[in-house]
Amino acid sequence: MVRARQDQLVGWFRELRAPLRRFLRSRRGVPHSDLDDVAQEVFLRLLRFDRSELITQPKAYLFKMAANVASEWGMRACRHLPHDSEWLSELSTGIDLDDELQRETRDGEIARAINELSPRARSILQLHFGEGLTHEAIAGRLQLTRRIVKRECIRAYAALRVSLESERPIREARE
Amino acid sequence: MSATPGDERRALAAEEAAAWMLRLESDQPGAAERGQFVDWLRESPLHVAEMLRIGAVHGLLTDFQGWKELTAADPAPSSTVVSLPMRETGARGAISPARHPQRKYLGLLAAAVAFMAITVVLLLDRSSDHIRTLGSEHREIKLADGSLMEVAPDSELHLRLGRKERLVVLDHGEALFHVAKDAARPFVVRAGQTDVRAVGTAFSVGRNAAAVVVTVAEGKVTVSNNSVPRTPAGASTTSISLGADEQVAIAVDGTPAAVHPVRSQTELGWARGLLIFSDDTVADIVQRFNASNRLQIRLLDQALAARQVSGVFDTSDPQSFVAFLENAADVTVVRGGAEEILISAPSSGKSPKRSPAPTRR
Repeated sequence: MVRARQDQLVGWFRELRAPLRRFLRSRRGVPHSDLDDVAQEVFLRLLRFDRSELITQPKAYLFKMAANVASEWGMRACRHLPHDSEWLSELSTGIDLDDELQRETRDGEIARAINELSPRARSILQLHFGEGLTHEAIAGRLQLTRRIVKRECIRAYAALRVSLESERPIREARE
Repeated sequence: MSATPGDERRALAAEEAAAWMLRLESDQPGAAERGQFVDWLRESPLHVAEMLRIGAVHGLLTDFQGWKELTAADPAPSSTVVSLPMRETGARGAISPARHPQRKYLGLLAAAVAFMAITVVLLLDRSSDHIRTLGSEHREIKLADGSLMEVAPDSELHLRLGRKERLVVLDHGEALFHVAKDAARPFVVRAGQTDVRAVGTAFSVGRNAAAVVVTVAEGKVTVSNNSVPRTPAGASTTSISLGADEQVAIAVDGTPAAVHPVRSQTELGWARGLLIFSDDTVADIVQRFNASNRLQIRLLDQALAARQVSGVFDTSDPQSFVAFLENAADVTVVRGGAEEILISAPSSGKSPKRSPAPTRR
């Protein structure tokens, strides 16, 4: 779709009232074990794949397989799969009307979720992702052991994994 | 609600996945360790699922731009931030994870959702090859061969996925097809006497009493009609090749109209439940809504009906369009019975009359 037209549509979308937008968003969303289904399929493919080959780049293979599965199943995978820009460009994402809106609200959601973490966890994430410090450097800066820094990161990831998943009504057949 | 063993397993898997993420991200793990990671992944789909989710979190954190603005206070609400429905218990426990490691994961299974808005993909129940959607129902179905089908409201079709051919018979209505490649088995949609053979990936076929309309979003299809009289030699005659962003309508008697270009995103916007209107009259838009819903909108003002509107609407929800009109124009909205909404302009002088109970379609 031509960029100008997409901007135009985004503009219209913004003009709709907030409750309406909220409603539309909830109508489009669906909870479900989509990711679990993808994971099931990826799991099977991992088993069939040559182990020694997988070991060379395990994370890359994992996310690439997930992207492939999602693409094969016609899912808009970029919305909820691990972000790895290399793979993203290979997915057929289709046109998304509210890309801009999604990014803004997504940042808002992330900020909210991060603010729910402990101040220490928040600082660590800020230093790592915001300023690019290594865990080692962060440990030095915050006067902590490296082990504690890692522990805090693990907890933060696990917490964010929960808090960033929002509840949406199941989209059943509407009468 | 106390944590079930399933909850605990998932919680543990999430932590392990996070630990693996850190190891693989920052350090330079050796072959032995990478082997351990692969073995851990291959232990259970749960591990794979949690790794994907943790990977997504990592991606979000990497992309996040608001680090500088983060303060102790919550970010100020802005008009573009949409407040989400409140989460159930459990997730709030994240603040002090050390003390309540289990409670924070209660939300996990209760929520069990993806991060962003995604559309549902139902696995096709193999025993049901007959699909029927109601007036305001929109269904997405994944076929056994990996193809994806989005079925519009008020549609009916039959599936026959055989060994030599993948056949979908469309009785009435419309469906959008994303065809999985299978060179050995052509994908054919049959609507009355018209066959649409897919060489490419995404196209829709709509059928009503007057015509069959084929719209291609991506790839190519071949449209042929069996009611066209055969040549003396017995071979069938015209077949039309349609490419991306092209549309053709075939009348019931087999005569095709000319192939014309369309913006397939606009034509097929219904497939995501949204219709895109671009300078369409309110009357036309209302007609689209009324075609798909029990709740009927009646326009009582000519000027209003003729007004042009652009926007994106969820056609399964007429109330949203009424709300839009209320916001955008000076209108009076009256509920005329359980299934009718009457809209008039206040200065028109007409008081909305209640029409007799509408006959059910």
